[in-house]
This record gives sequence, C-alpha cells and structure tokens, in this order.
Amino acid sequence: MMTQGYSLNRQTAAAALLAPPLLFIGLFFIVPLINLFWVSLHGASSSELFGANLTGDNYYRILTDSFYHTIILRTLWAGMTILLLCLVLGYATAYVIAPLPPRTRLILLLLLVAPLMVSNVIRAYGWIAILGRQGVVNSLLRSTGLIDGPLLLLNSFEAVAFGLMTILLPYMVVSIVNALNAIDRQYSEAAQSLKANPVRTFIYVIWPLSSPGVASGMLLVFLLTLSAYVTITLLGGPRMKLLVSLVFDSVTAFRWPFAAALSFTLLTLALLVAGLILAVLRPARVQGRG
Amino acid sequence: MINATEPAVRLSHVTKRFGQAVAVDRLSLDIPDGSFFSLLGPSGCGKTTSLRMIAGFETPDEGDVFIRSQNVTRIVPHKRDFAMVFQNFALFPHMSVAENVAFGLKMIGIGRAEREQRARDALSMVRLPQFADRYPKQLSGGQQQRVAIARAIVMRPAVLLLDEPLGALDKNLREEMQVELRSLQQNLGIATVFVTHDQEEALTLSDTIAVMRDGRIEQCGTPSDVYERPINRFVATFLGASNVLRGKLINGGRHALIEAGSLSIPMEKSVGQDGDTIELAIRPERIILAPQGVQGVPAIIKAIVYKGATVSLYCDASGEERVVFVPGGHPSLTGLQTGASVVLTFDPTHAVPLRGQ
Repeated sequence: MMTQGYSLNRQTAAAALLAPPLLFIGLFFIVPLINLFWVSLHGASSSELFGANLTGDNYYRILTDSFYHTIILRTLWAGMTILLLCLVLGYATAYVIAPLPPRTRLILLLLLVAPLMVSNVIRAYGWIAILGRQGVVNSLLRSTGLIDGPLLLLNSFEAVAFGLMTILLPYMVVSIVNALNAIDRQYSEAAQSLKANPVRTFIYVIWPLSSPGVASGMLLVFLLTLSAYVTITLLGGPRMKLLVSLVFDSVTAFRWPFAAALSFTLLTLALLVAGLILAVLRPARVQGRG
Repeated sequence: MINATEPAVRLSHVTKRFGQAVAVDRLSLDIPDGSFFSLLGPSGCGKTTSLRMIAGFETPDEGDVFIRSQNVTRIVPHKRDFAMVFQNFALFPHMSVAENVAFGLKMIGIGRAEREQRARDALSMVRLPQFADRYPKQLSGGQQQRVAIARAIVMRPAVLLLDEPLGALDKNLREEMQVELRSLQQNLGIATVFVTHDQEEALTLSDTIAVMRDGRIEQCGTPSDVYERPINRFVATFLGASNVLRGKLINGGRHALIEAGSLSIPMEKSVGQDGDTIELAIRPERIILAPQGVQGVPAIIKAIVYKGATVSLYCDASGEERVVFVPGGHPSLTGLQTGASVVLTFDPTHAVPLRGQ
C-alpha cells in the first residue's frame, strides 16, 4: 500500500517536473517548426508571408541546382574539417588535462573557456585584425621581407574553419575531460595486466569508454558549426558562404518559403551527421548493451 | 620444468614512499610456486602497495621485485607475467563476457579460434559457460567476480594477484566464493597473492599469511602458526580476539607468573630474563570455565552474547576485560547469568608469550 502511494506520488512529481519544459518546447519549438515546414511548402508572395499554392519547388530547386550542391557540400566539408580538428586537438588537450590534480585541472579549464566570455563578433574582428591585408601577420611577414604583397588570409575556407575551430574547441575539451575523468583507473590497469601496451589500452579501452564524452563533444561542435553565422560572415566574407548564410540572404530578400526550405535542409544535414556520429561512436556501448 | 625451489615472486628489501609517508618499508618475502599467499593487515599497512609493485603499477624506491627469478623492477606492467583480479572487478563494460575473457589472449596474439576456445574453457571453470554473450552489467556481483577470475586465469600467469576481490560481495556469497577460489587455485596450481584486511578470509584461504603493519611484515607463517602462535600483541589482536595477560618471568625465564603471582605458566623455552615483564596471549576459545575452588583467574560475567555456534562471555577479571568463547549448548553454560562469579582456566600450552609491543 505504502509503495503504491509512493510510486503514484513519484509519477505525479515526475509529470509535474516535466510538464513545464515539455509545454515550452511544444509551444515554442515543435509548433513553430511544423509551421516553418508548412511555409517551406509554398511559393514566395510579394504581399504575404508565402504564396497561395502548395508546391515542392523550393526543395526541388535545392536538390537540383548545382549552386546549392556546392554550398551543401562546402557546409558539410567545413563541418567535418572543424569536427576533425576539434576532435584531434581537443582529445589531446583533454588527455593531458584530465589526470591533473582537480585544482590545476579547474584552472586550466577556466583558462580554456575564458575566450568564450568575449563575444563572437569581437573575436571575429580580432581575427580580422590579425589576418587582414594590413593585419599583424601580413605586416610581420612583409617587414621581414618574406613576402612582397599581402597574403589573402581572410575570406577563405581556412579562415572560417580556423575561426570556428578556436571558438568550438573548448566545448570538445570540456566534454572529453569529463568523460576521461569518469573512467576508473582500474580499467586501464586491467588492460595492462592483460598485456595491452599503452597504445592498445587506449584503442581498446580508454577510447571506447570515453565515447559518450566524445560523442557529446562532436554533436555540440557540429551543431554549433552549422548554426554559426557571425564568424562565417565576418571571416568568410562574400565568397565563403555556407548554408546558414543563404538562409539569411533569402530572408533579407523576403523569400520566406525558400529560407524555410533551406532551414529544413540544414536540419536534415544536422540530423544525418548526428546519426552518423552516434552510429560510429556507439556511446551506449559503455552501458554494456553492445 | 619449473624449479621447485624457485619462488614465483620475490620481493627483496623493497621500499616505497609516497611523499613523506613510507608505505612499504624494506619488505622482503618469497612466494613459493603454487602456494596461496595472503598479505593481511589493516588499511594503510602497505599490503595493496606491495601487490601493486608486483604488478608494476607502482615502482619501488628501493629494492627489487622478481617474478620467476626475472628481475622485473624496471619492467612495465604489460610485460610482466602476472594476472590480476581487481577490487571492483574492472570488467570492460563495452565488451561481452567472452570478449572480456579473451581480451588478454588477443593482446598476446593468440588466434581467434584458440582464444575463443580457451575463453570458453575458462568460463566453464568458473561455472559460467552460458553467460559468454552477456555484458558485465547484466551479471550479478558474484557472476562478475567469476568472470574477473576467468579473465585472469585464462592467461596462465606465473602469479595471480587478488586485490581484495571478495570485498564487494555480501557475506554468504563471499564464503561461497572463498571455497571456489581455493579449489580453483589448487586445481590450477597458480601461485596466488591475496590482499585482504579480513582475517577470517586469510585464515580460510591461505597456505601462508603475512601479517603486515606500517609497511612491514610482523609475522609470516601458516594460518595456524599466526593464529595459534602470534608473536606480538598486534598479530594476536588483529587475527581474531585475544586475551592478553601480563606476568613476570622467573626460573631463568622459563616460567611466567601471572595474577599477582598466583599462577605460574611454564614456557617452552626461556623467553627472557628473570624479573622481565611479559605478555601472554590466550585465545577466547582456549579458556575454560572451571568450577569454584579450582585454581585460576577469578572473574565476574559482565555480558553473555549468544551467537549460535558459540556464546561469547565478556568477563571482568580484577579490572581487565577477558573474553571467553564457549561452544553453544556447552554444559558449563547452564544457569549461567550476568553477574555470576566464575573461574577462568586454560591449558598453559595455549598461552603464547608475546614479543615487544
């Protein structure tokens, strides 16, 4: 009797706790999303938000026009490049930070996230000051006589990837540090006792056990890459556009339905890559369900 | 053939410090091949550190570690010939039971077919053949324990290291696993080093027990040696309950006078000079309740604790607490009540002279 009352109370409490966020997400995310999809299935209108007729033209255009293919591929390529850079650099950094004493670790992590306290806009201008035609790098190189004319460092794929990487790296490091710290030292000792050298201990034990942290870090980095705008605009300029730039361009041209269709393309890419990350890393295996 | 006189493990004057603290202090010991050797002591006595130095997870500051006469002091763990069962088992959660057991074989380059066969054999040995495809989290504590043992013995190591492996199990399971562990170890004949703070476990399982305190071995011997003939007060009280009696030596150190000189206990040999103070340990189960009038230690019963197989009597003998274990249902218990006056006697051969403190 007591336990029944208890479990009922628990359920009520759980429902009460879950209801506000669920309601919030439903009202302000799911409903608008459905609305957005509805918008994307229409043509443009000069007076209304969208035209009168239902049509798949927007998606047809995105799927057939090679311009959009280029942008989609470039977006994916940028995402992958940033992901890979963040993974390699982030894992290496985390691997060094994780075993340090808690205090040192905390100080280093705080240092690492300190740049996040500066707005992305300001940081992008910072990179412009460093990488621009009259920037620090070019001035230095010219004064040493290594180059004659200025190098075009900005408005390039590299500038965007580099700029985003510096912003997103802390997310990756923090995720992986937490995952590595959650791994009991006994696991690595058990691997060594079973004749695994340090490299194999890493490959067979540490890496799989850290996969939840790696997965969450990669999801964060990739999704933030897809939705980054300021950095791409300022460091990529008019030539290095990604999908998100096209959404903005369409909106400013009042082509709302097409912007909506591009948004859904972006969302699809995000879901596909997220699914791919989870399928490759299989973070759930740490729970021992294969 | 293995040389019978060659120890499976030898620690030679090994010292390990952590900062200022000395964890292990010039420790030397030989673990004979095929024997079950326990390092027993309270936490912080250096037993786990000693085990970890055999494994190579800690490097001694001084001294040498040998496994099968090879000096492994500077050799990394994965190149040493040992296997280990960890305190919390440390089964890899992302691998199935079979993969866990075959992991070590895979690392030393055994082909798939052979390692699967050997993993199956090892799982049969611990009576878990049907669990090969499960994951560790789907197993009970006792089953995980067995998998951890299978994963270690499948390597056929020179020495098996056990770091309080039964600590995580509940009492009944623990006793069951003790029996199983012992018979498995005897069948395989693997030299085993067992670290524990549980004296009962050490007594049950071991061929040899080394009782440790403050990084040193206080006494090393067979279970009955260390239990029946403890050399000092620490060993006497750490391994089960003990009554410590004070006396003075007479007769060339061959007799101890106790109880204000009323009882004279003969010693096996001279244990000191006349007039020296000496302590004698006597186990509670060696004390007998004698009828009034018999020569012995007069005492008053303070508490009677019924434990089923035995009954513990807590007595006051002129201000000193004395403990007596009487087998349950023993005639001397009839009508016995708190506050009763009794006389405690014992066979003098069971009184063990203790050295130092």
